[in-house]
Amino acid sequence: MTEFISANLPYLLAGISVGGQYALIAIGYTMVYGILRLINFAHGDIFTVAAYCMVYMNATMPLYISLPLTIVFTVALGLAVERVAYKPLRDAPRMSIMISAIGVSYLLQNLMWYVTGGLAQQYPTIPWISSTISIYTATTKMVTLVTPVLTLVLVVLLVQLIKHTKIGMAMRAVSRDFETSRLMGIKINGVISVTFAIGSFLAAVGSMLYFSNYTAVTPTAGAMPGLKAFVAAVFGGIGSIPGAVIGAFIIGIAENIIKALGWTAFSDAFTFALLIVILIFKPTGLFGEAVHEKV
Amino acid sequence: MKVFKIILAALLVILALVITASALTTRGTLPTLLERMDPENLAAQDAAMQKAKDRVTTALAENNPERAQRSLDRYINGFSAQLTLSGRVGYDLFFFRNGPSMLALALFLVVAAAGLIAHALDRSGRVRKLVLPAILITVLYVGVYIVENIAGANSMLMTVLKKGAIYALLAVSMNLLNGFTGLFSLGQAGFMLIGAYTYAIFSIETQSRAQVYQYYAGGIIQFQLPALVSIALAGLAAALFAFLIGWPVLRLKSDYLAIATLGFAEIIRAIFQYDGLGPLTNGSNLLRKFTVFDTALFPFAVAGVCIALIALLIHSTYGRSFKAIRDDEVAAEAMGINLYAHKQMAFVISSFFAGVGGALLAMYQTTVQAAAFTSAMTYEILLIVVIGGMGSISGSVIASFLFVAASEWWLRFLDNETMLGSFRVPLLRSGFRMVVFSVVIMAVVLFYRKGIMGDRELSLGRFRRRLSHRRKGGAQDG
Amino acid sequence: MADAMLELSHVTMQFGGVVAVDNLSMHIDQDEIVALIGPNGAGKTTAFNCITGVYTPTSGQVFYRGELIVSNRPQGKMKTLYAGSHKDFPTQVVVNTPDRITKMGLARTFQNIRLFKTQTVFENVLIATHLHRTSNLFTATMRLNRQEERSFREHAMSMLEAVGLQDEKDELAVSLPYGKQRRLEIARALATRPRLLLLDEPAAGMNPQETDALGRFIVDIRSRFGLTVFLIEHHMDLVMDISDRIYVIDFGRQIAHGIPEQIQDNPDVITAYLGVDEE
Repeated sequence: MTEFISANLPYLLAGISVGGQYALIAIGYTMVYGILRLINFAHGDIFTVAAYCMVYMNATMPLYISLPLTIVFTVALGLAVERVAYKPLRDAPRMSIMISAIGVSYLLQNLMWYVTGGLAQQYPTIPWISSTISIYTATTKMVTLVTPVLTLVLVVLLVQLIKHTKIGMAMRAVSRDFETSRLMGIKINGVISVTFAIGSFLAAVGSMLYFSNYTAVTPTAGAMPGLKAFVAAVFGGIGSIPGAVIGAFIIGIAENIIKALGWTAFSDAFTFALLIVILIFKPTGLFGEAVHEKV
Repeated sequence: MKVFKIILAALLVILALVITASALTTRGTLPTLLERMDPENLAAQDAAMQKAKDRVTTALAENNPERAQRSLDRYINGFSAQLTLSGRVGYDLFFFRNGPSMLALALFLVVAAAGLIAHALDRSGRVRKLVLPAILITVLYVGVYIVENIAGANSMLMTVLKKGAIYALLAVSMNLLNGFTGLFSLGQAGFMLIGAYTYAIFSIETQSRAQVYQYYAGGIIQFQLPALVSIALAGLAAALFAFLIGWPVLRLKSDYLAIATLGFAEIIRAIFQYDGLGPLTNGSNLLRKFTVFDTALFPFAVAGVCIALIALLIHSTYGRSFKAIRDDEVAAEAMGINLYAHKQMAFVISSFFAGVGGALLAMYQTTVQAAAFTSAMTYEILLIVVIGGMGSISGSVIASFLFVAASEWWLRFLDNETMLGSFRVPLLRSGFRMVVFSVVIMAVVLFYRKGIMGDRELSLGRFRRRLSHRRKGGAQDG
Repeated sequence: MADAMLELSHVTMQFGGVVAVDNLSMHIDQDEIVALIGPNGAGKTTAFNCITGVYTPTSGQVFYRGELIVSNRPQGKMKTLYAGSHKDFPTQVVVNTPDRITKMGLARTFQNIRLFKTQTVFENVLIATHLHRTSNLFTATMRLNRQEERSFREHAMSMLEAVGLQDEKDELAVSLPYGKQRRLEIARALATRPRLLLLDEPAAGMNPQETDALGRFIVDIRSRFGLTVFLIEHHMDLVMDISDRIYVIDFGRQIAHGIPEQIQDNPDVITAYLGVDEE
């Protein structure tokens, strides 16, 4: 038994940790989807830009400046993307907005490639959370423990925000019925901006945690975690924040169990297989609501 | 008018015959040509001419007009003989060097002549409609052939043409699904991968298999199929896979469908890299040494036939049903269109052609590796479809060539650091090309949403109507 | 007695806790024009959707010319949620998709016009002829079905002529004025060669003259194409004018049934439409 635990504990810890990181990205997807019915394909790239931002700022500034500045920059980028690429298409068919999102993703990746010259960059070590600790038999980084805790704290805060503030109420209204909320005088653009700001903020935090673990930053480094976080959002029932978080943890842990079994090559494929299974048997995810189409 | 057309056709045929004769006869006369071009011969002639010229000068100096006249005549005769000779040599050499292109040109002239005659004798008007497209298609293929022979198979222009033709097929196949049937699928890269691998696996040279599959004891397949058979298999394999996954995914609505197909593409990529399938797929290693094409006509022919088939399909009763589903699923179903069957049909057909396109891409690249078939590849093709116009075949084709030309060729200079005098042009360095390129694409997506063609087609009929309309309008103005 | 053209038996449609159609039974005989009326939200369109396969009713059966085309009983969660008034469920479960039901000979139009937006008037009708195609993918792509294609086009054209839209055939369907779009929907439904035509508010948005013409048109196509017509309509003049019989529903339930004269004087119907006088 102890042997089993000591052999598998590192994987479990890694699973919980990466699950928390996926959760932080997944919230951005799920909130945007809830409000705009848009898969924000650029979200994974915003996550990567946050990492590069940290790399470059940390080279010239002390951590206590670069860290908040990275967050501010990421939020600004998220808002800018929304304003430039999604807002003009508000009344366009959904396919057009999705294509625009794909275009933004393409642009951001090429831009990062241009700025960095395509070389992998070493992510800076953030003191304390990058330090090594050992739990029972497993040696790991502090970030492994910090991630789930921080994730849960942020999620609780976010849920409180959505439940008890005016803007939160507006968000819930808009996600229930976009057109009616607009008619009721809710400032749709404001709500959408706040949604993007929150999503980008969480992506920036997620990026700091994620890249403290996987330290090589490349222009496409965020594509896969981004997709997986999206899968987590779908898995949990898109539009539902607790759903996204639970989905993310399940995917993070499952993926690492697959790795523990020696099927590393299939860890990504597994995530998508899970997605397809859930879409077939419960297309609205674990916590999603069924929608009836009016004829 | 009829007579005039037939005379013109006859002239074209005669011209074609002359060209053919020249192209065929010069081949045997190379030794003679070389003899005549021999520097020693040329030098002797030059010396003779010089002598004649000197004689004219002397005669003039001696104030002897008669002799000067005679010497001048001799000089002129010699000069024109030399001109004729060099003209002949040049003409023969030209035909010797470009013989195949000239034969192609002759072929085109014959086709054009046949078209003219058909046009002249046509009563029903049905042939008339076919003549111009037939001529244009011949022009296209003959043009490609001639350009390839003149510019060289490895020139940038040929690279663009080859890759453009392949991308055109890939874009049109994706348009069939996304633009014509309204199914937002992002599985293109997965089907291309299946096509590329199926093709490569069946067409690696038997004697090279041991080397290619060095980590897997030479692999399990020990035969090589002809290229066209392998290409057909590539399409069929992709179609079969689409058929299998169609059942679950086609029930999903728009963006769920997109993400599910994207997921399947990723799963396919993982499976093909799986070590356990190594004897078949070579694991995560390259597949190489398979049959490739040596002329751009091959991808042009395969892609051309495939695109023509898709176009015919779209304009058939089935294509109309696809468009009905795109416009309104509920109404389409109420009109008796079996939604699932038609979606499945569009999905399988589109995947078949994506598989064929993947096979062509493998041939173009000469090697394949599963790792390269990422979702970014799907996005690229989707963007081409959008630029060309969702629901326009000709738009997709035009956009493919523009896209490939811009990314591979026209914007290349953006990647190079450039000095204007002592001034270093800012921003220009590796990677800038793709940034500019993606900004242009974003501009199209945002401000020019219909793309180049919208959902219309490039049509000769419309072009002609517009021309005649303009002419009429001009007449009225005047 | 010959089978009715259409027969509904205890059809109930429940969404979540809302019973939109409750225990609806009706029959329509060959060559009849039958109207289904009721206040807004009474469940008329839902009833149509249950017949044409867009929805599967929670419980009940539908027969078309004696053949059972839809049959269901509460399943899954509905077993406990079921709130309809009829509790004697059929044992059989028969589900048909809308396209199959159209193939059997029922065609419909839509309340909120659903034309194929990017296509011309002619193409809209042409699509509906495909129901009877015999060509397969290969013969259609290779143009080996010219004969069939020609007959489709002729048929589509004659349908357009029947509704008087032949002059607009090359215009985009959505560019037509409202009244013509409604007529185009009817032409499209006719092109599927139905025996039973279901019209969902065909006169909505039409002025009195147009409505009047539509009434004459419906009577005319009934005899010309041997149709039976089942329609939902709010224009009472039209309904009273052309219907052989009328069913009235309110809150999903049938409240009256009879010939127009009976319905006009029925106190329940008047109450349903005008509300109960509180005083």
